[in-house]
Amino acid sequence: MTHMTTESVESHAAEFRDAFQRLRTEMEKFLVGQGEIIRGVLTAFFAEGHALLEGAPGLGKTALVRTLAGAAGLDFSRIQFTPDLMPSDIIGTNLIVEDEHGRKRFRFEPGPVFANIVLADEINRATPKTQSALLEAMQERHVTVAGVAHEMKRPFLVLATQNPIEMEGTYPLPEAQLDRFLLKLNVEYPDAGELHEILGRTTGDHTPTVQAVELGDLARLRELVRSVPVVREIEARAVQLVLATHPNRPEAVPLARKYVRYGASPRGAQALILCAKINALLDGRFHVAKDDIDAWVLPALRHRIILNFEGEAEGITSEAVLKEALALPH
Amino acid sequence: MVKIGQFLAFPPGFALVVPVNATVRQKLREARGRLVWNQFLHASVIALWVGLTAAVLWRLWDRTGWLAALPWLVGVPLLAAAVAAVVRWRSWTDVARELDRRLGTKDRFFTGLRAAGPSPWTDAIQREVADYAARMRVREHLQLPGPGWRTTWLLLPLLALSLVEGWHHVRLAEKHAEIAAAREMLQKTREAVPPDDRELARAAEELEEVENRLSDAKEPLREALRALAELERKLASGSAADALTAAETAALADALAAESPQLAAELRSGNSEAAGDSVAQLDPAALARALEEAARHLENRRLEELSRDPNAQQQLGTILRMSPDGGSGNRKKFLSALRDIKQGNAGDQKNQSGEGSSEDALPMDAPDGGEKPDSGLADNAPPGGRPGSDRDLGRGGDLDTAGESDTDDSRIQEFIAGQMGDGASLVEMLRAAGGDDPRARRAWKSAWQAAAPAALDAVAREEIPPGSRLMVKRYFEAIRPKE
Repeated sequence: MTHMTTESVESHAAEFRDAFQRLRTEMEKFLVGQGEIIRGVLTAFFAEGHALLEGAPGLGKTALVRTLAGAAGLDFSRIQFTPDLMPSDIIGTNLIVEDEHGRKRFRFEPGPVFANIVLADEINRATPKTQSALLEAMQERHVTVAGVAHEMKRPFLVLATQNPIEMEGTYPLPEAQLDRFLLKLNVEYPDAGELHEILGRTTGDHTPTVQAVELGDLARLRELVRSVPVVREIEARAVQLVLATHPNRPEAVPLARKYVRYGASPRGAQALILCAKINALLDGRFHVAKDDIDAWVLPALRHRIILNFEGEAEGITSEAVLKEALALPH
Repeated sequence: MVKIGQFLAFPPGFALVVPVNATVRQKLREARGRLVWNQFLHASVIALWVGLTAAVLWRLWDRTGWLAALPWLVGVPLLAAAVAAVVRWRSWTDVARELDRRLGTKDRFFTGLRAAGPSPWTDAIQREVADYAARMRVREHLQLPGPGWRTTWLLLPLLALSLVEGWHHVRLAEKHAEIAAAREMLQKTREAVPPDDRELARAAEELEEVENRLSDAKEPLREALRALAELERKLASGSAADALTAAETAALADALAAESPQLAAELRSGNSEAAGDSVAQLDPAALARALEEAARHLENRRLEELSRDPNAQQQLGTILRMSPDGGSGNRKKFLSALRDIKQGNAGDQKNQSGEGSSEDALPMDAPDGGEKPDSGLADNAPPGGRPGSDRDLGRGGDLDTAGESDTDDSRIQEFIAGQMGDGASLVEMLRAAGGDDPRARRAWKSAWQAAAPAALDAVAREEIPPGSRLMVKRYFEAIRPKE
C-alpha cells in the first residue's frame, strides 16, 4: 500500500469498518444469535485465513457460510465430506476430451474447491488422504493436478465444519491441517430468546433474504489490515501468550508444563496479530492494543495446542491452558 | 500533520518533553502529577510509620533526645517518599502505560509515545490519540484513592509513643518525692566536693549525670545510693592502692635525711599532706637519687620505676596526698560528708521500711531489703529482697532484719574462706528439705532445681551401670520438692 497519506489511511480504515459492518448487518438479517461467530468468520475473511467451525448439527453452520457468500457476492461451493470422498472429488480431475478434429487431449475439470468460499462440511468424516487434498489449496492457494498448478480464485476462504459428537467413524484432523485454520470457532447452542427468533424467521411465510454488499476493492482492504502498525512491546504480548503454551519454555504456564505436549505454532502468533489488527481498525484505532490480542487468544490458539496423555485423561482442555496464559500480567 | 515535540532525556529515562502533540503531552503531565502525588501519599504512610517507629525506639532508648530528633525522623522519610514518588514516575513511558491501564485506553498513550518515525500510520495514530485525549478528562478518570486504611498503621507508633510517655509521666508522679530526695542527696554530695580537687570534680560530674538519669531509674533513691557507694569505693580503693607502705615511707625518709631533713621528718611523723607539699619544692635530681637509694635498699621495683620517672616529683606528691592519713584535709572531709549524707538517707529508708513509718519518711516504694547504714563496699552489691520475699537472695545483711524468722530453722548463712577469690564466699546451708514450712520448701526447691539437672547430666556422662543410673534418677525424683 504505497503512496498513502494520513488522510488516505483514515479514509481506508473507515471504508474497511463500513464494509465489515455492512457485511455483518446483512448476515445478521438471516442468522440469529451468532454475533461472535459472524465476527470471527468475517475476521478470517478479511485476514485471508480459514476458519473451522465446531458445533452440534442444526446450529446454522452451513447457513452461516452460505449467508457470507451471498452477502459478499462471492462464489460458493459446498463439499459434504464422507468417508468415500476422494481427493479428485474436491480439487477436480483431468478428463479426456475430443475436439472437433477428433484429437483427444486432457482437460482439467475444476473441483468444488475452485470457489471463493468453500464450505467443507463435516470435514472430519473424510479420510486423511482426502482431508490433505485441501492442505495445498488452503495454504498455497493453488492445486496441482498432473504436474500442472491451478490457481485458486481470489478471495479464497475455506470454512470447515465438524461435529464434536458422533465421533464414530470419523478421522480427526491432523495437527498440520488444524494449524492451517486461522480460527477455530465454537458454535454455541442458542438461548431461548434466540430460538424463538429462529423459529419466527424460518417457519413463517416470510423468509429473509440476503443482499450482496458492495465491498469495493477487497484486496486493498486486506492489504490495509496487514499494514496496521504494531508496537514491539504490544507484539510482545502475542509472543508471551504463544510461548506460555510451550511446556519446555521458561515462559510456560503451570498447566502447559503439566498437560501440554506441543504448544501453539508461530502461525498462532501470526493469527493473533492479524485478528488484533482487524479488531483495532474496527475500534477506530490505527494501532494494535494488548486487549485486541487477548480478545482472539481462544479462537486463534485453541486448536493449535496438543495435550499430552495426562491432559486428556484429566479432562484438561486447551482453553483452560489458554485462560491461564491470559491471566499472565501484561 | 501533527507537530512532534523534541525528545529530551536527562538523566536517562527522565523525559522532560513528550514526543507527542501538545494535547497528549498535557494529559500525560496531568496524569504524572496525579500519579506522583498518589505515590507520595502511599509512600508517606510507610515513611511516617518508619519515622514514628524509630521515634518510639529512640524514646525507649533515650528519654530526652527523641523529641529533638522527631522532625528529622519524620522529615527525612517524608523527603525520601517524595523523591521515590518522583523517581517512580520519571519515565513518560511508565506514565503512559499506567494511564492506559487505569483508564482502559487500549494502549493509546503508550503507542502514541512509542510509534515514531514519519509515516502516514504514525500520524494517524498521533491524531487519533490526540482526539481521544482531548475528549478525556484525566481528573475524572484517574481517581486517585488515598492511602485509606493504611493510615491506621500510623496509629500503632503513635499509640506506642503515647503509652510510653503516659507511663513515664505516671511513674514520675509516683516517684516524685523519691526522685526529689535522691536528687537532694546527690546535690548535697556535689556541694561537698572540694573546689580545688580535680578528681573529685570529675566525680561530681558523674554524679550530675546520675542525677539526670534519676527520672528513668526504676528505684531512684537506690540508684543515688549506689552511685555514692561507688564513689566512696573508688576513693577508698584508689587511696589504698596507691599509698606508700610504711616500709617504703621509712626507706624514703632515710634516703632523704641528708638532702631534706624536714621532708624526712614529715614522712616519719606521718604528716603526708605536708610531705606532699615539701616534695614539690625538692630538687628533682635529689629526689631521684633518694628514690633510687630507697629502692635499692628495699629492692622495691615501684620506687625504682619512680626514680626513673621524669615526673616523679609530681607523682610522689599526689601519692602522698592520697594516702589514707594524707587525705586528712579536703578528701577526708569529703568522705566524712559523704558518709553522713548516706547515713542520713539510710536512716530515712529504715524509718520507712521498718516499724516506724513516720510522715516525714521518704515516700519511696517500699524496698524489698533495706540499705545498710554504712555499708562501704557492700553498698555496691546488688540489693537483695526482703527475707522471705521472692527476691530474697539470703544475704548476710538480711539476717539482722528484725521480725524475720525463716532463717532460724531452715538455713544458716555464713562466710567461709574460699579458694577462688580473695575474700570469703557466701554459702547457704539448707537444713530442711521441703517440709511444711513454705520458706524452707522454696529454698529446697531452688536448690533442687539447680542440682538435679547437673546431677542428671553427670549421670548421663559418667560410666555408671544402667541399673545404678536408674537408681540415681529415682533418687532425684524422690527428693523432688512438692509443687
